[in-house]
Amino acid sequence: MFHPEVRFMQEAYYSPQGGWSMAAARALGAALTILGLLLFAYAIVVGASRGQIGSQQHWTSDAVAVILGWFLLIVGPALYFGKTPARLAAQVQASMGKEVR
Amino acid sequence: MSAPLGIIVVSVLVVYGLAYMLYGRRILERQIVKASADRKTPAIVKFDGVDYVPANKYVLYGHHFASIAGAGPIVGPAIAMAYGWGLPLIWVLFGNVFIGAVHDYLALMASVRHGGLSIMSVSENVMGRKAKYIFLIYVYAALLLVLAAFFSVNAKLFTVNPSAATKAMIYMPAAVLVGYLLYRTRMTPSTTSILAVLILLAAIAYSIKVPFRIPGIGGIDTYHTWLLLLAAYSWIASVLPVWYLLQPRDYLNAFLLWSFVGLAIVGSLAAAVHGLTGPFYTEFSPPIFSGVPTPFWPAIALIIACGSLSGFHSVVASGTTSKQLANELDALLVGYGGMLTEGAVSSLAVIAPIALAWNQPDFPQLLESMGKAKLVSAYTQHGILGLDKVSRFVMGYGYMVGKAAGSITGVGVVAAKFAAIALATFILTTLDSATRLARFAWQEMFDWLEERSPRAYKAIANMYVGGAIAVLAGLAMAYPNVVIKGKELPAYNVIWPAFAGTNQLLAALALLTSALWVYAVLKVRETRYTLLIQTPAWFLWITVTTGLAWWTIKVLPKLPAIQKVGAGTLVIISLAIDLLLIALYVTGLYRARKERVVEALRAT
Repeated sequence: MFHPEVRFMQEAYYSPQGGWSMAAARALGAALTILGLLLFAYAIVVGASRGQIGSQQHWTSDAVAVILGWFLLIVGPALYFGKTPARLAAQVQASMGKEVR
Repeated sequence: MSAPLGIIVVSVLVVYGLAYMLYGRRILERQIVKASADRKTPAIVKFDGVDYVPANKYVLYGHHFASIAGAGPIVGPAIAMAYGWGLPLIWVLFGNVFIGAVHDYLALMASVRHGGLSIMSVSENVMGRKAKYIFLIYVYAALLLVLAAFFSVNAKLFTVNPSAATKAMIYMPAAVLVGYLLYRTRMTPSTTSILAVLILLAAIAYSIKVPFRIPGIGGIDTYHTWLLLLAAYSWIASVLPVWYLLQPRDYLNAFLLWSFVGLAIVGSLAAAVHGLTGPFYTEFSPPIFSGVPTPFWPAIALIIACGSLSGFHSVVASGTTSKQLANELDALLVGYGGMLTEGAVSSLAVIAPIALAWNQPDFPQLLESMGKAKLVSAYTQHGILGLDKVSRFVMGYGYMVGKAAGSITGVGVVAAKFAAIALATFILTTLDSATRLARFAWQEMFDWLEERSPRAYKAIANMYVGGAIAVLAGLAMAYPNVVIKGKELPAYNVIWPAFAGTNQLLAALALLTSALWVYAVLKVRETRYTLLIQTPAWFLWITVTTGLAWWTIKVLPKLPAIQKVGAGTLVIISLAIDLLLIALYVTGLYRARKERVVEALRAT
């Protein structure tokens, strides 16, 4: 009556089976992260000098930069690191003897 | 002579301390659930690196607390102050100890013992397969409504308070950085914590000084532009691994939220000798819902939700939280303790400050210092009830801390701004957790397809599609406007008045499910323990069902026509599902009793 297994789509996540090359994903992730950092830092500095980021009347470069930088800094490092952190993997391995990618 | 503030503070702290140690630890953890550090949790057994990931108990406590605490623990008690401070406080304490915290803890542990599945799926084990799918559809619909509301509230917040937008912009990348430091460097946890606090303070200071404003894009206004940006963010956040964004974000949140609760405790203790100017009791039926006299019972369950008990909590506990629990013994702090902490927000950060600031001669100084001089006349005439519900909380909190520090216009103003930031944080963190929870519910709804057609299951129930459908459905209810009472409001408002009732009905059904799990699966023999859970569960079910019936008869006719149809339909559907699930519950209970009798006969 009861089925405890619900599989999530981990195999589609950053893995070669999902159709992605890890190396390409890492390179893309690094590029997005660096671009995100530059855009975000630009917006923060401009915002500090002007007393606000963006404007209610028209789109400004710092407003566009902070939004793009925000998304890139969320997605970029995820693509770059991809795999589960070694510290977490070690914790699970120690408990289960289960190999973790 | 007015009662001193210290009475509330000491009573609340004693009640919570005793409840945690005696009811939580001794009865629930040791006698009923028999939690054990040796039993592996789903976070370990089903580790997948995305949703099933073990978390440090304090990080998980922060996640659970931040996710269950939307605006509910603040807004509900602020409204209920119309009864005076006594009745809402009693309801919060009673609800926390005997219903809310039990509900959250048992939902968490039932899920942990069922491989991290939701409380809706747990119901299959005790009430049958039909119950599971009815329950899942009901909760999924409620989650979409929550998503629509939180999209809308966040977008409005960012539009009218651009500093909140700056904070959100800094907060998420900062969380990614903290995650990097936590998991991928050799930095010690204490050093990371110090850095996290510094980042948090810098982000708050910067966002207060530098607001982030945007105009509309492509002919749409600022509010709708924010809606689209938040929808994109929610989808991305809901498919990223929890260790990457959710856990470190909540690690940061924990500092903010603890400071908020801690300051309320310290402030109320420091101001303990000051008398409460608010009345203990005003009347049993003040006009609250649409000007209709609103009787304390059964309506209180519909007014105070998260601060006392809430069905949404069982979805969080058995959704994101149960999949990250590293050790069964952590569940008491996370589940039971998380609810008591949220209760402390309601009692010590909302009810106590409002009761203190109810009618004080120096309160107008705070209003003027906060740039709210126009509220002074309303306060002078009606006391704190003359302010809107959010201002009651923000100003009351600021006043209490300012009074304790002897500086209403200095420390009080800073504390009031801090309270507003904490409220904004509560609201934002609930958004992406709700998207992830809706994705889980969607995936569980299609588990029947997995064996029949794995390819179809992969196509329909993969996390990207599940997350996208939830976001699009939420957006569909938040984006278009409808005219209600001559005002343009987001479309979800057509059915929103029914949400309080449907959410509390979910709490009653989830607690009944947990109670049946204790009886039928854990096979707890002692009648006193099973009654300790069954009695409050039935009391809640009767209260909420009666409350919904009262609301349908008395309040619904006063609503505009469009809400009468929308909210009325939702309430009627909810009540029908309620009765159906209760019938399945009674059948499950009867079956469990029969099995128990057979077992007893065999034993003899």
